[in-house]
Amino acid sequence: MDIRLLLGSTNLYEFKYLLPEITVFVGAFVLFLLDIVMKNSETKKRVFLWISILFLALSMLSFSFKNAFFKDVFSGTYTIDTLGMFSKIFEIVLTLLVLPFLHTYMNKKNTFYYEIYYIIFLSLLGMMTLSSSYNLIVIYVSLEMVSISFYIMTALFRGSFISKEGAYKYLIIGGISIIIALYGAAFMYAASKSLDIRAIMSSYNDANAVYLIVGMILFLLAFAIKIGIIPFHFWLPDAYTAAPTPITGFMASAGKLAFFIPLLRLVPYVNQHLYSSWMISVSILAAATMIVGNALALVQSDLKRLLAYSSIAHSGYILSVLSSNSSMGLKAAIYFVFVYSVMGLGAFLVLSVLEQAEEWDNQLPKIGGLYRNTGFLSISFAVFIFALLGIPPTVGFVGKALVFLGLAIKNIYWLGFVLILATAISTGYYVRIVVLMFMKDVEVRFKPHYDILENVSISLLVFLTFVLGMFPFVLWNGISNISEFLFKIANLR
Amino acid sequence: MEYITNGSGLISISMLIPIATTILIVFLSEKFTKPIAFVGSLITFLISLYTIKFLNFSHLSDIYLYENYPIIKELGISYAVGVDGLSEVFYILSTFISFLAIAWSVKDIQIKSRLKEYYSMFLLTTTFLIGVFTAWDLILFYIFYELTLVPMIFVIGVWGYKLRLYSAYKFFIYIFISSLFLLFGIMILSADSFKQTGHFNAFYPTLVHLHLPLNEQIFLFLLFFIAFAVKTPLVPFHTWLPDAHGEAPTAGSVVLAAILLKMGSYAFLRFNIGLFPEAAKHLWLVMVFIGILTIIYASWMTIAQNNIKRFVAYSSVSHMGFIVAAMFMLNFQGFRASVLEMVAHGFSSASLFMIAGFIYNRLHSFNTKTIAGSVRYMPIFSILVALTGFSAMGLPGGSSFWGKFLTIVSAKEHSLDLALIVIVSAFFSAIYMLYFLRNLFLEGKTEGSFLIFTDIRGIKLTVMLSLVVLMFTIGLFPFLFFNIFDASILNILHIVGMVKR
Repeated sequence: MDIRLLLGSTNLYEFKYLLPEITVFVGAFVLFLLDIVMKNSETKKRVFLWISILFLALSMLSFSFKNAFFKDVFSGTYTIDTLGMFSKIFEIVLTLLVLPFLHTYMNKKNTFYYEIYYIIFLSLLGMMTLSSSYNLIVIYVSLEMVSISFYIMTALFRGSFISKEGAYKYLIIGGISIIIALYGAAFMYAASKSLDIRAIMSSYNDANAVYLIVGMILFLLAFAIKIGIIPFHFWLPDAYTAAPTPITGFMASAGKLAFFIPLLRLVPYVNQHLYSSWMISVSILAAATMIVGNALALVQSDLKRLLAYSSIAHSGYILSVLSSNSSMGLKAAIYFVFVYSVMGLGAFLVLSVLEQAEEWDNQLPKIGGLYRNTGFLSISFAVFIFALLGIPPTVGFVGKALVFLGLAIKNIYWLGFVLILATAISTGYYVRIVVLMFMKDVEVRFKPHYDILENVSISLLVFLTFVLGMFPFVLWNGISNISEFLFKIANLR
Repeated sequence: MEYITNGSGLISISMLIPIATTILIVFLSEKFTKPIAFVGSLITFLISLYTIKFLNFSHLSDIYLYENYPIIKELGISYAVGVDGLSEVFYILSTFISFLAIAWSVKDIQIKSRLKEYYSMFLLTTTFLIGVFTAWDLILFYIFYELTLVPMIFVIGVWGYKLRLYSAYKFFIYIFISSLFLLFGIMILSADSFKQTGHFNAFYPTLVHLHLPLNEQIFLFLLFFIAFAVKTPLVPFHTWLPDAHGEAPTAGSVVLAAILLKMGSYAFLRFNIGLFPEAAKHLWLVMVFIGILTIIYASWMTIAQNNIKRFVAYSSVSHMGFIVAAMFMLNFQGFRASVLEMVAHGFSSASLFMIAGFIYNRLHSFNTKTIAGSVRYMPIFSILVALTGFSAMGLPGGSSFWGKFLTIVSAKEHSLDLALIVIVSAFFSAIYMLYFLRNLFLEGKTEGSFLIFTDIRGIKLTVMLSLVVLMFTIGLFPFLFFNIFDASILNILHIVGMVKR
């Protein structure tokens, strides 16, 4: 595509579709300016928190100004559709829920980094653009934007060795993955003379098949590293442990959601030529991720690391149903991605509150008798743990049931049994947490503090965990339409 | 099969009342906990009794009190509850036993701490059990089936005895993992329905009409079998049970043995046989032999126990073997025997666990050596023990008699050899009950070495007396119960295509 063509055809009117993204960007800029202008004080901390919340709320509101449900803007580089809108709303809400925790977390650690507010905004902007484009360049730039913000946020507490180590690992491996993505993108462009994934995938023919497949594999490899698919997961537990816990929650929920969206968008375009290789490679990766992720989580004694591995395992569950490559499978995957972000974030946020206590060091035995220390937090944590395990009527159950359905409809029974085995392994560590929390005597006595915003945020996540599980049609009807629609468009081409 | 909506809403109300009671308990002071829980579960029980009024006793294969609200329309998942004759029996049984368990706990000195949580857990269990026995949608059934785990793991783990953490952990892991196979099976069934009719479906009466090839049926039968064989339990999947039942508090063991085990056997009858009749006909002999193996193995294990609670727990396993063996005879008398035995075991195991709990309250021991001969000093209690023991043994007039007798009759319909094997295994189950009675009545030290105990009285006496009366009601008037569930089991036999009378 000619750059002049792009500029010439840009219609200012089309910027209205970008209103949420623009709001977030302006928010980042305003916070940046404020950081320079204001002196460090208690007021500044509160101003930053409330201004961030304000801009996120504005961004949410600006969704109501859009009037297109499916539209390619800016010469097809940017796609406005329902999947994008859903994921953007989720990402903004998740960011909103994280912010209060970040505030108290840094307060407690006595090192308040104001830059984190606009970095989190920039990463959110990256996620939003990542969620709504089919264009390789846009995807690449957004990927970089999200990743670089993540590197910085991981290394936020630069005094600590663990933080530096995790961020360094993340930076190196993340950098490699970006290069691989770029290389794959180059192959795909060479094979199809197009930057649009939809055009690339439908340009498949015998002549360019090799380059196309190599390009696609490399591009997917980059995503596999970003999401933390086994065997490309080595950075993930370290980075997740290194980052401040609210940020870990943010990376595991909103970050994972955003990284999965391009993969989800790709699924309807995997045609019958590519199907068998896609099915085999994705299902083997998924099986490995589920089993190894859970098995490694089982032997962890650090709760944050345990949840990091559990997050890897959940990527495996989502990936497994993507292998079925059907409309039903896509629905299940979208549902699971969304709800994992709810329950995963909840678990990390509870941990972040606990971490503020002096006596707490994230070790598994320390959680013994937590119920006696704090009823609200332990019950919320149990809800999230049960959701991650897949006990009805939480969202985790619906997600797993849908994954089973997606696999059953394509007769991929062996992956279903692998999923059962993986869940069986996971039962070991999830139930241990619950048993320790409620049935042991108190290990360390402490009173965790949480302010009203944190309380509201955890309560909301608990509420969502139940409501989206008990009344799944709230989310399901939308998701179902999205999936059918994506497949319909893919088949039209 | 028809859906009669007359009186619909009652089941949902009876499920909501325990939840409402739980909320009250959580927000009110702890001194109101016991009366509120008692009244809440009593009301639930009374509502479940009141539902009998809406049943038409000449057409009990219909679904009464039917309610249906879609959960996900596209996937055919709905909140579909209702009762037919078979469900009604277990519906009332579960509210009744839950009520008795709560009534018993009121005076149980074992329950000293965290009263609010304790009663909340039992009330929630009641709700979930009602859901299990009245659900007509397989997903809904699965949801409640799993949900019963959550309160029970807390009951075992928080208020149990010495090994409670281990037992709670084991209980959860066994049942949760096995039930994943069930979930996968349900989903495969739903996908099969999609392939045949174009609609996803999890509604039982519709799934019954699917035409599944034999190999598919056997595959699904085995998936369902794994879940229910662990829950029932059948040897060799039974090892969680003695731990869970042995370590749970008395009321917990009562609910576990009397109703939670019935979920497995009820589901065997309803789903394994109802949905996969060809597979059931193919595998019936295997299932019967697994049942008989369970009876004999568990009976021997029972005799070897020196902990009276584990003794009762193993005797439950043995009884469940009888239930499964009778059921897979796949004829009318076998089904009758099976369902009646489920009800009878509901009463007798509840009573036996209460005996064990009562003795522990007095002597602080479950060891058979320590408690040997102790009931001699409590005359009223000893009468109740003797009546329970003889009734569970299967003497004519007792609760287990008809179950065992009809099992032999149904085995005879297949062959005389099978009937002889059943008779031999019935003999084993008599032996361990005799051990039980000998230990409590005839062994032990002579008079004077025990303190003088207070005899059973008040609410505990009422609870146990009602159980004993019900046991003998089954023994003397089995037709009261047959009349309720006969039509439903005939309906299932129709599906199997083996109606013989």
